Amino acid sequence: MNYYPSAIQNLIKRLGRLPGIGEKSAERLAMHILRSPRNEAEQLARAILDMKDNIRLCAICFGLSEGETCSLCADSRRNPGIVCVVEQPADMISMERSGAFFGRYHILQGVLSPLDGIGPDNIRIRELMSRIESGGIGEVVIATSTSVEGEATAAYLHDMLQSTGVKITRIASGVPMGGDLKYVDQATLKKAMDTRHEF
Amino acid sequence: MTCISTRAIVLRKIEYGDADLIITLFSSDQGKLTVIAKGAKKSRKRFSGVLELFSTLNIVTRESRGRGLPILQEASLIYPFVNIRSGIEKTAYASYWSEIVNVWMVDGQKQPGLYSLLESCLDALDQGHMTPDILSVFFQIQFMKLCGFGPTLFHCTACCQDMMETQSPYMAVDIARGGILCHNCQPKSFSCQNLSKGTIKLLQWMEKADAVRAARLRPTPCSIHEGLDFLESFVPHHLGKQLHSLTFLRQLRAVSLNRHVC
Ligand SMILES: [Zn+2]
Ligand SMILES: [Zn+2]
Repeated sequence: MNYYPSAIQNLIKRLGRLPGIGEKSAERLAMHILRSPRNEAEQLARAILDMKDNIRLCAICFGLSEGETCSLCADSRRNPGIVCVVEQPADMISMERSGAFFGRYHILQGVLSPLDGIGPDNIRIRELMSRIESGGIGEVVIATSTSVEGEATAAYLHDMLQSTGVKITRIASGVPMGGDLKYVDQATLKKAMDTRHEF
Repeated sequence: MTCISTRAIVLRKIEYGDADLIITLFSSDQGKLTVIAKGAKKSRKRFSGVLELFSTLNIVTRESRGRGLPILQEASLIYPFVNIRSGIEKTAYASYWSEIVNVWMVDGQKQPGLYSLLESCLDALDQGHMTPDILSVFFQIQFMKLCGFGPTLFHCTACCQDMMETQSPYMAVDIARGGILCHNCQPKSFSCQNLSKGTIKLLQWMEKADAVRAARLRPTPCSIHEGLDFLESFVPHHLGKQLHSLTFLRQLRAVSLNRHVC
């Protein structure tokens, strides 16, 4: 790397800090950018700054947004009476890809984690509570992950929401589609059996 | 190339890159060990649903070729303890005990007694044999006994007077000295933490009991509260570290207190 002029060294160093990119890949990317036309490099640089300048958290759901509220919260075709609670923006994107949900979201921006010292005050639980207290919501679907932290967060939300009188549901968990039973752990299988449904 | 095969409890799980997990385990045969589980985040077949916090597993690890962490080859569930995660309070206590063990133990140092204490407490928490707070009194007092810094509960740490002979209903706590002080020895100048005789008896009893006998005990809420207060300052003091999960527990208690007041 030291054989490169310092401007290239600098770019390689910066690219190498990106997740999943080692020194070799960083070098290859830098060489690619060097060889491409100036306007392409400019567009790349501008796209990065554009994103940094314009993306913020939606004031209602705390998802990623370009304005005060995100396009999903502004969409009048979405059912405002049902709110799906997820941990991260990426989880919301996955749910949207599934095409299974037509309500609104609430992104907690994390999960309760005693070992990391992340408590109820550190994620967007209070905001969810006040959103529900302001009315118009009939059902909350808790779609946190099925890890220990995700399940414990779901249990905590259930405790907190009970007094509000809204219907509280939890996404089902069980055998994955195309899954082979012999690769499924016993905790998951037990849950799948416990929550089996009639044909 | 050495392989290790042992029973172990998951203490900590950290994401490493896009695909791997770094897992810290407390094993019955090898003490604490940290391993890398390659591809655990992505593959459904490898380790699916198995590497969860507090799970008791049978694991096989193999030394890595370079200087890296040992590699987790196989892991199968013995007890997933799924009921722990069904409540935030249970999860918080299990995290607290795991963190205590993780902070105290050094890699590769065996402690079979502590291993069975942790496993039996997680099991009792999962089964609901004892309330989490009583179990936490039991875990902490047993932990300190096993690690050799158990508090002196039977006599005054300064003058050695037998505690049951003293007339005062309260005893002062001296965390640094590792025990309690009789009425004559306690400092008059500042207010210090106090323990009632009832709480001291509870702690003495918990230190001698096993999990089965401890489960039959019905201490008063006041004794549990006082006992926890004492132990939760005593244990971190001797570990020399503030614990994240204790901060979490306190936050949780504050929330539930607010809700009851409202
Ligand atoms: Zn929104
Ligand atoms: Zn004394």
